[in-house]
Amino acid sequence: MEFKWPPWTFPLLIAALGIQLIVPLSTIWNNWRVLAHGEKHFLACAPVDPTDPFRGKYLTLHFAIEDSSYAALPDWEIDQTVYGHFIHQADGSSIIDQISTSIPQGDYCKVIIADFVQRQDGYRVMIRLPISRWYVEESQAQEMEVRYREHMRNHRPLLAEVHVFNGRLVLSGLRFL
Amino acid sequence: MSELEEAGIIDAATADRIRQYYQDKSPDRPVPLLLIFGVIGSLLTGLGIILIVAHNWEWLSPGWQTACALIPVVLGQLLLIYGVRKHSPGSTWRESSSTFLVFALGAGLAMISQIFQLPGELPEFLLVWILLALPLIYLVPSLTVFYLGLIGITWYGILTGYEGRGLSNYWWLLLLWLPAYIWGIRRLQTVTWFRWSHGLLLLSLTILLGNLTYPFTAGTWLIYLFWTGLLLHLADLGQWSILPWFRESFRWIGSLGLWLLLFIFSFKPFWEQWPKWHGQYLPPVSSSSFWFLVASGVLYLALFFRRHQSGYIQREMVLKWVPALVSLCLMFQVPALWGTAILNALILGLGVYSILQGWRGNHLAEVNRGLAIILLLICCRFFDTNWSFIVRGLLFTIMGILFFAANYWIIKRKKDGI
Repeated sequence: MEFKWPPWTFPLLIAALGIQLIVPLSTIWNNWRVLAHGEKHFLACAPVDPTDPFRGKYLTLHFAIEDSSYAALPDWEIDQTVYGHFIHQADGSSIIDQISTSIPQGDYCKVIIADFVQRQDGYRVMIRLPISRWYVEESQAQEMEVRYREHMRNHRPLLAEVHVFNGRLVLSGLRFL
Repeated sequence: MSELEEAGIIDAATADRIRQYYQDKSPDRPVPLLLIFGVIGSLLTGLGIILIVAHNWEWLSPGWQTACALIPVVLGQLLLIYGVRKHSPGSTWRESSSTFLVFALGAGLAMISQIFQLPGELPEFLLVWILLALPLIYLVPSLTVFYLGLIGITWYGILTGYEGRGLSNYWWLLLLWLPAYIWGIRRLQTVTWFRWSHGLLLLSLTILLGNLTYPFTAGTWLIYLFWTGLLLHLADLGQWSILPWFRESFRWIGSLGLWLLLFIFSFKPFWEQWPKWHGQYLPPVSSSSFWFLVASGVLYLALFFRRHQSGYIQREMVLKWVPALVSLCLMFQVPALWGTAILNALILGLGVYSILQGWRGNHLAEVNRGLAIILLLICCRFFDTNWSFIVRGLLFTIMGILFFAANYWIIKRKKDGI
């Protein structure tokens, strides 16, 4: 199965191999910048436990702010990306207090509109955060889930630590309070 | 040849042309064993790395974890560069090092998104992986990555194609893959290893065909029915059938799809559901799905009334009629009882027909295919009928005896040379 191949493809191959390295490295760089410069927020959440064939075990996070609804404009659509504005609360956790299509002042991140409803007091939307997974070591996944269930049964809050920087949101830890 | 050349009967140019002719014509160029083992070896190593990665090594610091993620990638790249510099295209070195690199890349990407808790679901991950690996098909060039690419693209399509958001990115990815396929058809026809791609591509297209039928209505079933009919027709349409494996691929995927549909249609709940499928019977005229349905139907009909090549096989002729018959039943929305009865009779008939054909021609495979069809039909009826255990038991016993008897008799007849 031998055939000829033009030699000018070799520089292109080197370029393609370079891109293979640049893509993961740039993601790491972006991620690191958010962790280094981003404002820290704590979000209340509730995990479950599926498996991803490649990336091992993870907890699927569901945030409390994803259950509240926000004032919306009639021309917004489901799956549209909008900006959510973060504020710190007195108890240490944070919430998104409003969403908009323009970039707000202060800490913000991109969120996705998950649901759109029309009520008597106007249009409301439910949102979805772009982060939803917390990867854990294989052997710890079960333990984490048990711990989580215990935690929830006792009505104690679980907080996710996130860093927010220039509209990017990076998950950096879980806090069992 | 050199003798003829020396004797002056043919000149050197003619001799070259004749040599070239016979070289091109020489039948199959099988895959060297070493190549197969090399590729299997790198496949296993690569898959192993992915599994190890999935463990998530938390006790290492993120820096070390990142290094661990990228070392296999860099190693794969160095091996590949060495392979490309020192070995010719299609060699074991190029194929196995690029295979290893593809898996190392997948593992590396997965590990990094794990270490840094990056957002994103499986489809997005697959998309990045595929896009980073696809250039290897063209630049190495690698047949293994060519296959892995198609499998990956299909997988991505399955994950995204039926979410109900219209056209999947699958089609764009396929466009990136197709030039390699087209090049291969022109240049690699004699390479055995390349030929599997026809069947694999058809399978991929068949799986993702449904994506084009959004919004999914009852019409989706009709489109699939016409599609299988089309494939069966294409199996012996003009030049294609001359190319090795093209014919076989069309025939295999076409009949596989058709049989699957026939067995689904043989269930009564399907016919009860049929007129009210997804709230609407046919896709709206404004949707592309509607026009796709019309186009596939017209194309199928156009081929249907075509003159057949001489030397056709009778069984295939019969199979080509089936989509027409079934689609008529579906379009006229026959009552559920009738539809079920017709389909079951049809499958039974095709099974018996297959047995008879095999019996006449002494084809053991053909007879067994017919018996298998009938057996499968009986198995399906176990789910939606209330036959007593005695009837079911008797049916199975009769089928078992038939299997023995038919095979015994045909082997005996072959031995006796009848």
